[in-house]
Amino acid sequence: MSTNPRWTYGKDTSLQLRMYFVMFMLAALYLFFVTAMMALGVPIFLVAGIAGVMMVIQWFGSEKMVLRSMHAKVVTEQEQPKLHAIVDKLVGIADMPKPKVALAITDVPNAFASGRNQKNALVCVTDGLVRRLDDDELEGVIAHELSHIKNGDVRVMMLASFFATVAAMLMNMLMWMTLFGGMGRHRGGQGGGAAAALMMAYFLSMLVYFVATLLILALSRYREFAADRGAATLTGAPAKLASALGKISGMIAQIPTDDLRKVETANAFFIVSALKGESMAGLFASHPPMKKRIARLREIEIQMERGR
Amino acid sequence: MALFRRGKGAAKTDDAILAIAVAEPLLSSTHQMFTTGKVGLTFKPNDSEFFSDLENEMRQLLAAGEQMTGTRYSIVTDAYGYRWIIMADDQFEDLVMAVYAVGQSFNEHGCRDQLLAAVFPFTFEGKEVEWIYTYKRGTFYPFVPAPDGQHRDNDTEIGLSEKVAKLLPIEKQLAQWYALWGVPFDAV
Repeated sequence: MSTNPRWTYGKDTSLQLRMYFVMFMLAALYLFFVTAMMALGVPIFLVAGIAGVMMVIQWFGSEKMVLRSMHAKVVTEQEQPKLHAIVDKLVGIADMPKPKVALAITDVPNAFASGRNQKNALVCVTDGLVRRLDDDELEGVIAHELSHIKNGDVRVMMLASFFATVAAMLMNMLMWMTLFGGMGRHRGGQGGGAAAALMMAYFLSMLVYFVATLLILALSRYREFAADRGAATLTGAPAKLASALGKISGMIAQIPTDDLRKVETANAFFIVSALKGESMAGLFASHPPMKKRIARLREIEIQMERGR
Repeated sequence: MALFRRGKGAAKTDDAILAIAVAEPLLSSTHQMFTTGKVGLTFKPNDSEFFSDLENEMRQLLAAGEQMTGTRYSIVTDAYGYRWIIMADDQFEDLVMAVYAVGQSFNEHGCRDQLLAAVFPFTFEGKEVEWIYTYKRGTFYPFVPAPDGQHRDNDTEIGLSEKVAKLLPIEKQLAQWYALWGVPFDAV
């Protein structure tokens, strides 16, 4: 295995092309957004400035916020020797600085990475994950998170969502402004043109926000595939990550929120449960469906075996 | 020698439901999970003659139970058209036996398919935990509604199902863990 250069599997040209395409579309959308807002006389730079300050706060405080929201804490080598051993081994292969290791006490099997750069990174797993996976599977999941850190995904996603945040803020502001503007017009009997411009800006922000969200989610899914691929190259065992994903998707994702009475009634009328609109769900999901990820990992496995 | 029927097909008897009577003392002593002293049993009424016979018998049964064991009850119909028998009793075994007896009379009248579920509400760490027994599958699963009434606390559900796996016949297929929102427990 070590005779093969790692990066031979590391590239997925079509995936990268799609990723660049989405990023290009986002940039174009944002450029259009800023230009249109300027033309409509909206103080876009002021709003962007406020959003910028918010992002900087998030940027530097993200680790603490994330840890608190997940009820996680950073663990030492003495506390979690196994986790640290896995991370040590993988960062050695990946040639990257070792991130902090955190553990969240929850039964939900999950893992995530965070941090604005490789030096300030953190990888966190839940004890529900540790309990359910064997060591090789755990290694696959941690390698996936390390790939996110190495690919700078937190940074990319934050940047990608910056203008979507601006659009969302603007939407809120404009809603209030059109309300007050409307009242002013009532009293003064003028300013109809300005109100129309505000209205226009409001709908435009809404549209930009919607399209940007779709693009960001697509980008996020592509980066998940890339991290899966990264994990496969790091561990040399894509099948292990695949089996870990299978185990995880076997839990939470399967528990329905539908009501038993509704389901029973539906069954009585022979409505097939396949009519749940899965393609729609895919469009709005930040992670690709498990089936697809597992299938891709199997493909990578076959590629690896050929290369051996 | 199987203690509980856990077959893949539809269960023919509901001996499995009795497991919760045996489990209850352990749920409270070792897992700090306490019964609220109520149970809800739900079924789909239909217009057949058999069914009105059954409902008459059921009402007699419930009235007799109220006299003998002091099990209070109330019958309500929900927005789905399902009927609920909500019962309240400080003795948990009495509640389980009442549910079992009602199930038996459904069986005897050949109306088993009308039975949907029995719901045993508990409290655990300040949360509302409902143990749902479905008659089709003869198994239990936990349902923990989030405070917003729209989401489920899957974390607690999975944790609890693992904790009590030795005490109750737990539904293995998580896709079958359907919710039962807004059980009218306040009816009694």
